[in-house]
Amino acid sequence: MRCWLFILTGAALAAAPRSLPEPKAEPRVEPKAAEFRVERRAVNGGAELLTVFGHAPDASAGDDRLKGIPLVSVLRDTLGDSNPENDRLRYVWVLTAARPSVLQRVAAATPFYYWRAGWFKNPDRIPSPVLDLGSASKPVWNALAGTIAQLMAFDPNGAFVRSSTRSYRNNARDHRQLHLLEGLAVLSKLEDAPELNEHLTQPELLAIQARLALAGQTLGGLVSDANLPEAYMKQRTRAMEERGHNWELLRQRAEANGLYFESFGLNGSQALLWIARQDAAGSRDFAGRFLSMSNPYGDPRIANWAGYSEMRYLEAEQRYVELVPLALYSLDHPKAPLLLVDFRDTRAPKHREMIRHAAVDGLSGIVGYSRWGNWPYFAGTSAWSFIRSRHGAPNSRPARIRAYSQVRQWLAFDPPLDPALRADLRQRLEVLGVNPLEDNSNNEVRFAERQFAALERYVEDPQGLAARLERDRSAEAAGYDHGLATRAGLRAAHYATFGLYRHRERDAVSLAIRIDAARRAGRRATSLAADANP
Amino acid sequence: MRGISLFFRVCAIAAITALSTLGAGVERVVIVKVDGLPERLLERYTREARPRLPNIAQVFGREGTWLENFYVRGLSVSSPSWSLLDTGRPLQIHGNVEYDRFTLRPWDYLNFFPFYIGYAMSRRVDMPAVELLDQRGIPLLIDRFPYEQRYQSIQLLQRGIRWSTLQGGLQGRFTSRPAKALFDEWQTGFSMSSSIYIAAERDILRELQGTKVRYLDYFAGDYDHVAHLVTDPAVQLHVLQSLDALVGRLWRAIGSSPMAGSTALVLVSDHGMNTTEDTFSQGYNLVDWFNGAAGGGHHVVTNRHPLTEFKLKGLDPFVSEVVTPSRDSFYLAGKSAEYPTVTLDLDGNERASISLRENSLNVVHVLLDQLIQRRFTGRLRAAAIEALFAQLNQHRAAWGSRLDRIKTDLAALRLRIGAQETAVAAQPRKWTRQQRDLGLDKVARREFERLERWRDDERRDSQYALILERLLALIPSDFDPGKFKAEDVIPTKSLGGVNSIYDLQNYVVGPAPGGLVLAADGSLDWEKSFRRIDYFTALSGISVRNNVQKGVSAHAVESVAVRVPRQALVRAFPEEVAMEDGVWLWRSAERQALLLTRHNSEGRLEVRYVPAAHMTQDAAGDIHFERPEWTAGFPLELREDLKLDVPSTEWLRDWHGEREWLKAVHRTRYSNGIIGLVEAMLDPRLAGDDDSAVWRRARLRTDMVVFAHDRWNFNVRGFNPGGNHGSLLRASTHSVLLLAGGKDTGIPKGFKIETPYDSLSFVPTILTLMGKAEPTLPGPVIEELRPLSNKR
Repeated sequence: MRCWLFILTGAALAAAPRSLPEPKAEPRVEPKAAEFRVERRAVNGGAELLTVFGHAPDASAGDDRLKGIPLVSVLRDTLGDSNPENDRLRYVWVLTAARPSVLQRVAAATPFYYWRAGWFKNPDRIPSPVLDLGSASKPVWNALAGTIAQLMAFDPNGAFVRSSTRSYRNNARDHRQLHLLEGLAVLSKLEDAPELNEHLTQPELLAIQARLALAGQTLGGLVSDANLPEAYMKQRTRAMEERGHNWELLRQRAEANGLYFESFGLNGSQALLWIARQDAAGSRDFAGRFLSMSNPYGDPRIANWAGYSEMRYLEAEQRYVELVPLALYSLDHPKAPLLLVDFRDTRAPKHREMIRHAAVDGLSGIVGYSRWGNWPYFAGTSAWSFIRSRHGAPNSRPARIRAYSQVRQWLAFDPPLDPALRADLRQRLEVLGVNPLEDNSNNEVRFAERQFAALERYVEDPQGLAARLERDRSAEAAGYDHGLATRAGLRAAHYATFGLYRHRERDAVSLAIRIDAARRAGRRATSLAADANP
Repeated sequence: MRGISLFFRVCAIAAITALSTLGAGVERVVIVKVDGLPERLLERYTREARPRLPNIAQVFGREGTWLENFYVRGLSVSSPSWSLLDTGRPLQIHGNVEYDRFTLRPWDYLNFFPFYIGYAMSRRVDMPAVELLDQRGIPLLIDRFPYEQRYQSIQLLQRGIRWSTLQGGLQGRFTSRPAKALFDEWQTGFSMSSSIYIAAERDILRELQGTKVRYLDYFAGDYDHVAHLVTDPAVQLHVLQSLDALVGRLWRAIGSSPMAGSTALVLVSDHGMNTTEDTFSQGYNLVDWFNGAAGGGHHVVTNRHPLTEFKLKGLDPFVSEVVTPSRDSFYLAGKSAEYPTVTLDLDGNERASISLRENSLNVVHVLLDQLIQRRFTGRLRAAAIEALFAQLNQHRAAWGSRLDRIKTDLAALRLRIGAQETAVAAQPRKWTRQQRDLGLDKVARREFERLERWRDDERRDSQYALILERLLALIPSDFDPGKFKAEDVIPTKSLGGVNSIYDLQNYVVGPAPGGLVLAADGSLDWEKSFRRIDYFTALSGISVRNNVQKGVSAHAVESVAVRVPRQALVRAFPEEVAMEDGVWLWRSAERQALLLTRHNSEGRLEVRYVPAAHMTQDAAGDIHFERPEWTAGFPLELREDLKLDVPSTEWLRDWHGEREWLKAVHRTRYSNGIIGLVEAMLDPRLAGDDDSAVWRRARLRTDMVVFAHDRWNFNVRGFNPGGNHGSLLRASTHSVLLLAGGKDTGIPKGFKIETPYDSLSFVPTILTLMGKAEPTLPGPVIEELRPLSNKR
């Protein structure tokens, strides 16, 4: 497999066209906002499915993608009326995420296997939601149960079981995280398009984004709905701080090292560093801190560069230069920009990622050290991690996944990047994938359409989404009417009878009335609490 | 008949009561101090059809008085700005950190940690800015109220600490809320500062229900913090909405308090904020520049570590002095600890206050170093020694007089220390509850702290005097460079005196690349023997290749301001009388300005703007410059500004009082910059000032202030892409003053004041409203509020 990957990558790189553009004195065109639209579709039983479509910037005439690619769907339970006060958002589907195949799962459970394995995938299966906004805490309990099972059942059974189960769980968690973040990235784009607010209101958008962001944290699903606005603002503040901070850091490091910095729009979260081929021929001091790359000055790879390059006229220096791309960074990363593509050594970022994963998998899977079961190990890794992060090292696995997810989104939907550069970047980014559950980004776009078709079938099926909605409402009403113990008893009865017994709360009409009253009361209480809080 | 008499008596009592209530004026004031809040944002969010800051719109817009043109005076930097607002006196604090030129003792006005620890250990009682103002005998607004009548929240100019607020903040964070709320905050991100703010608010709301406390303030630093980091309007608005909610809660609490009618609520900010959503503020690292060969290869002192967040040392909260060594030093390599030669105050970030070591000391040091290191022989040795003593002799009188001054001060200081030791020893060790409530323990602690500071000053000054004395004792006949080290005769950790314009234009940063050179006559060739920098040209020549944002200059430095001594100006402008020190503002060789100052017969400051070009100063101190035609592009861009409000362009050429200048220029791009420069660069002589006070102030003087171009900043401790302040641009100087009050306060409702005022008016206005007018304060009372307060 690795061999194939090398061959394919090598062939792709060799085939990558070297651009020979005419010298241009004009500055590059500022990217405009990506175009999105929201489509609303009624669901039997009193709900609606809102689907966000994005337009691929490189779609050409006659291409199906011109119609838009379905990216994210959200189910809004309206109780069948037009009053928004009793609406409740339920499921979020990220349509670019098809369910992993059996082979992918096997690969994910294979320790130290850090390559994609998108074989025999069936994107026509009904997609599973990445998040249930009506029951955000459920994944937390599932994860906790999984951790307990890992510690008590799998870990004591030797290195093989321990390492494969841990590998699988880590990969599955990363996979979910990646798609939560992809959903978040799409929805955050809607903020820039107020005309879409008739479909998803600002508070709804804000709540979904907060929930998606919190779902990436171990216990984030337990945060109360009332605190979602605050959680959203904190998350947004942090993200904006990071982006501005890294924009400045990278620009200053580029300046100090004689490189050229280019970010993609103020709200862009990526930046490229370039070097003038003429400058690279000489030698000079190079402070590589924060840049994570080797000294490009005097590097024969630049002198012999055959990949993508651009001719530009630099007004301030009054000279034409051939700019060679050196690196692509994500600016949405804590403390320092994260190197995603090193043009001179495409595999370097992946190798670093593999080493980080291997260190974790080796220690926790093979050796059996657990941060929570081995205090010296906990203290040691915490101290090491603190010192490394203090010096700007990218220690946080979720943050790296977030950066990776955003750059994929950017390449997929943000116009206008030179098509040759876009193709080159996509090719190099594909190499970066280390999760067997993950799909090639080109496949993801194709899968999205089939996933959406499957979801539409699920909506039309009377035993599909409508039935699920009814069950959810019943569970919701049970939450209003019964205590925790009673609900646990009812659930136990359901499992004990192998599903024959299912508790139902009243008939559909009285159920809707009860839920309507409870939702309105809940909304008023949340609003009052928000007003009263200092 | 008796009934009628009783009726009239009752009526009379009622009338007297009513009149006395009407005349009560402001008896209690609540001041919300917001760091860095720009007026334009409040205006934007309160004048919409559905205001997003509804409380501020209601309280100050409809029920209060709104000053539309209130400006910071001087530099738009927090410590100086708050010091002006808190004292109502001319600027005494010129930056967020100031260094004593002779001893490099830092006055770090922003660092809370040493203050808190010192307070906890009963060694400190005031923040450094307050200590400095106390030392100069300048009271704060809060000092007008007895100790038991004031509530001060945590802020820059702080007297004492209310542990109860801190304790309440910490306890409240963990104990006063349900566990679920705590859990949610843990998941979304803790903020300790918000707990302190909540505790302070709780304290104020409690005090408002009583009548004892008459002065209350609440300091909010969140907006400044966020706006420095983030351009996103949604994030900035979120902080403003928290402030708006606070205003609503305070106003409601005042309304239900026993002194509702006579309580005033005031919202004030120290400066604006230059922030826009479409542009990041770009940083330029002046520390690196001064470290590098282009900047002179200096070892640089700052108050914080550059890139603090990436250093373990950056975790040290007590640091006030960091030396960043140069790898390109031309004669002080490896001597960064002993000989830092530049101090930088970069805070606020759109300006940098820069001090360089005294140039003549550099020449002495270079010559001495060459003689010690190179061990010249023959004619070159003799010429170098001759040059060394020529330089020493040239400055012997000035340095000798400085030494005498220090020695005289030291003698007086030692006497004061003796007396203070006796006084401190006589103080009680324990304090009763009643004494504490009156603040007597803090008064005593203040005396102890003063003693400690004097002892420190005495130690530092003695050390400086000792080495300077050794330097002055050098004589050619007994001079052998092999017998001593430079540290024995060149004061370490010292900058020495202020540099002249001549020095800054011919600044010696090391020996010439070829070393010392003999002239044809066998003496040392002064021109060819030294490597020199003209700092005005060098600084304005700084440019970047990564100029990636539209509308942002490729040059980081926009202008440089330096003080011009009166003597030089008098010789250059013989037609003018009674001139005082002035300011020279460099923008380029062709675009410069001189700001001349004088006091008129009524004692009021007058300023005149003179366009200039190619100005130089010679070694004798005379300045030479051209008088170009006043076209566009001169510093402060007055002539071309369409918002300049003057009868004719001829008006600009005359002397005008500062109120006239303010009215004419406040809406321009650089707003009240002309007054700000005079305030920031020149030392006003205060009533009661003696030579000693002037001398002490001069020891903290910087050589120059460098202003950044719009959207540039000089922050090095981290990155401030969101926005900055510190410059003279209107975005940074336009601040906030809003007032509202109960029915007896006389504060007009729904009233907008367009007349411009600056921060010097704040204290006199508040005091006048409270019936405590102090005519000796230099700032004008806000006229539009005065008649109402005078009715009392």
